[in-house]
Amino acid sequence: MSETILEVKNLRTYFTRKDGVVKAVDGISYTLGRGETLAIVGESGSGKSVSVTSIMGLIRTGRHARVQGEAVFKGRDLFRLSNRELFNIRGNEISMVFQDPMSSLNPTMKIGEQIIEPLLWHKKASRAEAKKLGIKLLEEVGIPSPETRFNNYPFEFSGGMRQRVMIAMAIIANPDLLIADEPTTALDVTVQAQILSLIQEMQKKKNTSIILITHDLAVASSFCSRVIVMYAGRVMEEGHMADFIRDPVHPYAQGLLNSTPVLGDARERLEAIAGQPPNLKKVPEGCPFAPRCKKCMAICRREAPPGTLIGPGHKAYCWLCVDDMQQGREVAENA
Amino acid sequence: MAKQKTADGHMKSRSHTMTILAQYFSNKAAAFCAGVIVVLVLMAIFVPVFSPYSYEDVDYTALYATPNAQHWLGCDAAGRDMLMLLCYSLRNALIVGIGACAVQFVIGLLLGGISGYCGGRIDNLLSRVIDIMYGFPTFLFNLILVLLLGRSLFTIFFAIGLTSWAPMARLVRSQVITVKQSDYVEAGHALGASNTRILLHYILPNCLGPIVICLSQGIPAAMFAESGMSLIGLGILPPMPSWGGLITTGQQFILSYPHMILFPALSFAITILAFSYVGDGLRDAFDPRQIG
Amino acid sequence: MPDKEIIMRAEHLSKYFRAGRQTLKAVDDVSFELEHGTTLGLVGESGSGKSTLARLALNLIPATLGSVEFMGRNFFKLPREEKRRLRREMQIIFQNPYLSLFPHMSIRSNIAEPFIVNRKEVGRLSNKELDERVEELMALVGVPKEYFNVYPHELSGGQQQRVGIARALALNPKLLVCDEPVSSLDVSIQAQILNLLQDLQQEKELSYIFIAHNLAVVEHISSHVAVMYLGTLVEYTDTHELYSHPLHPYTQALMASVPQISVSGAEFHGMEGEIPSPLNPPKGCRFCTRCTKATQRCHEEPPSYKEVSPGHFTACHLYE
Repeated sequence: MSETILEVKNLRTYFTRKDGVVKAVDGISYTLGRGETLAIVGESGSGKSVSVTSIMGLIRTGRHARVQGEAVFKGRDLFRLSNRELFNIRGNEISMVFQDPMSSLNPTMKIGEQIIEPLLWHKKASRAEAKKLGIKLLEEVGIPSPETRFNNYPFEFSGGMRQRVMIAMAIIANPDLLIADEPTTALDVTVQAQILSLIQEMQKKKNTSIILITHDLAVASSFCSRVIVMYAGRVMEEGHMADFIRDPVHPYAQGLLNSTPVLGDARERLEAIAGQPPNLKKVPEGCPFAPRCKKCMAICRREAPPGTLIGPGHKAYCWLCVDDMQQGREVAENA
Repeated sequence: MAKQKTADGHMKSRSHTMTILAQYFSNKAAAFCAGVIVVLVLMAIFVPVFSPYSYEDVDYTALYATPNAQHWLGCDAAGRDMLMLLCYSLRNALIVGIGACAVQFVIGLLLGGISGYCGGRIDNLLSRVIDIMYGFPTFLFNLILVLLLGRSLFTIFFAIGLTSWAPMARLVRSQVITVKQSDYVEAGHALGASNTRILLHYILPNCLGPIVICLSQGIPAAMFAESGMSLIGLGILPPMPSWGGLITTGQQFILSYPHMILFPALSFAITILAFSYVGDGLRDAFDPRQIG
Repeated sequence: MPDKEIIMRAEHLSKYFRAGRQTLKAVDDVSFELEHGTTLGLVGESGSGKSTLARLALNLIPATLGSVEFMGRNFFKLPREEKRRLRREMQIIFQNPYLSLFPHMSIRSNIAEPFIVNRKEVGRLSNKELDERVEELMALVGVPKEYFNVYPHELSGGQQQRVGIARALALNPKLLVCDEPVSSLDVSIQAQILNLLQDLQQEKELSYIFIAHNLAVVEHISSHVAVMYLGTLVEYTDTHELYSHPLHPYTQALMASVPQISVSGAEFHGMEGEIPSPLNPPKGCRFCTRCTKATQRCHEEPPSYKEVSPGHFTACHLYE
């Protein structure tokens, strides 16, 4: 068991809007070890992106947004740190790669400058050393003629290249944790494979822990050793990727896997999950997935299910897994 | 979702217009100023009806009178009731402001709409025309037009509108160009809609936001233009009262009878301010980021 | 070989844009056939020209070269009135369902619009008749009756797409172009819409041109697939054949780069290089700069598009 570098405990992020409170993240907990790769899988409204931006302290808390819970990184709760301390961690020990490389880079700054910024801010190298490192890194991430391209502006790069630059920027300070939020969704499928391959390579070389946010189970399963499935701000199922893919237990997870077409799939018809994504201002009582669940029971609508351990490291939040609910189910069906 | 349903089982809903209005009125300052404008308009219409005086009535016993029981805001140098003068000035200013905007709107919509929708050579040509209008010395031209056409309310707002439509045209053009590229316009083509229908029914309704804002800012601008002309004596023809005229006259008596310049200036300022706030409020109401 | 009824035949379709002194060949000499009641999948990455090609076929964009035969008539050469009438038989649904609905009109008005626009041909319908037709269409695509007076921004993405489909099917077209209709939807909703499209195809004998970049979705729904790269057609055959025996190196590389659901983790196989700029495509075969099997000839001479095995077409020197 590798050392734990991140422990999230009961994270809740609520946004107050005019007509209600949006519970974007409603109580999630997980741990991440050094060198581990974790996938957070979910659709829109699941809270997967908000959960990591909350951890990174990128949410402006105040009258309209509240972040509660704990996010213990290398022994310190990120939510209790001062701005100065958080600043020292971002880009240095934890860094993030975002979805849209077009809007994540400063268009008026040379990319070389942007890449070495983390080193200069965190005083890890002199300008000359940083520049050398930057050029070497550009080469490592696969940008041809790195010395010349160091002085180019973002508009002179294609989408895939910009994402490589973002990755270089994220790993230049050798972070312990890299969070990638849908890093390839905006890219073509051939470029996507290049970028994911690159991240995989970097991860193996530097033993960085990775949290990969995605809606694509195929990407998640190829890349990560552990997975968390989120829905309406809560965890539905979590476990080791192999166990999860072989035997998903939660009806939502099963539904996701069944509704994804795969190459070579002989099925005539996909098994769709009925209904609409949840309204986060009015999450129903009980299990948030109940309105759409084929196997919904009476208790599912009344009470939120606890987490049940169904295998080593494999947990599902579903009443179906709770043994003594079997009798309860008969009662509910007859009621 | 617990939305109300009508008799045939359809949910009641709010259109964009209602959403924007709701958004507008949630802004206290803007809502207040909208109320102020309504009050002003009502004043302009009804006070003259109920007053014992007309603006022309001269009361020789009350020359330069300060505010008193018979004349609530005093009188001017010729003994005319100040309140009446201001109401008529307000009325004239509103006519000029709204009239000029109407002219701007029609010309700007036509030229900007055609230019934006047609593109190509027509767009190039019309854009050059718009550019030329931008460079025009509008004030000078207003004066020339008014001197040529005569100094009635109509010619004044017509002249102002005729020289100031360029920003509206440019705005309409850029809106049309943006909206023209939307998927729903393409869908309209695919459904078989004619160009006219596309422009009138799909594009223009979705350009209204900035246009309404431009109009609400154009009204005070037109009022200023007219008062500028009045200041040099070429605005609304006396004895028809106008703020510009009253201010010009009142200037001479600023030390002896300050009420003669104070009240006109105040009422002018309040009106302009009210329109400004309304304009700002509209701009915020249309801003999609502010909603929800 | 059973007699196929071909509903659309496109020949040598091309679209060139002038950019200063350079010419952008967005679509270059593409021909295809669409059988009645089937789905042609159009696959490609950005810059492949697949969206432009579909719009050329519908004459939403004027073609620089080429012709389209639709329901037996030479579409581009028809007089304006007849073209309008034939245009009603081919409709389109879009990638972003919210942006494709009229935002200032209710759902009812959106779906009723085709009837109003074409009132000369279908006759002027009373409000009551329009309401009935709209309710029928809403039921057909699975939008609850309650959303009649609701506005597009109040619906979810999946519901918006259903409304888009209802509007497109209002006048009973024979052909529906689906331009990435599920790409911007969540996975669970995606499956709903794909199932709906399949059901509608059965019920109404519709023909689809289905554009997508997701190879698995295209495999699932199409009977034939055409692969495009930088404006040209590189491979075309029926779905089963394409996915089991892809011939063109680009098709092969494309399939290899699709991540698969795996139990034990996997490597990602990207393609070398980036898609070249369409303003400056490589001389010779457009794929030569990234092809692992490129020869000297590939860099000099563009390959011709031909039938390499029965019903299987490709443009590659390896097969000449």
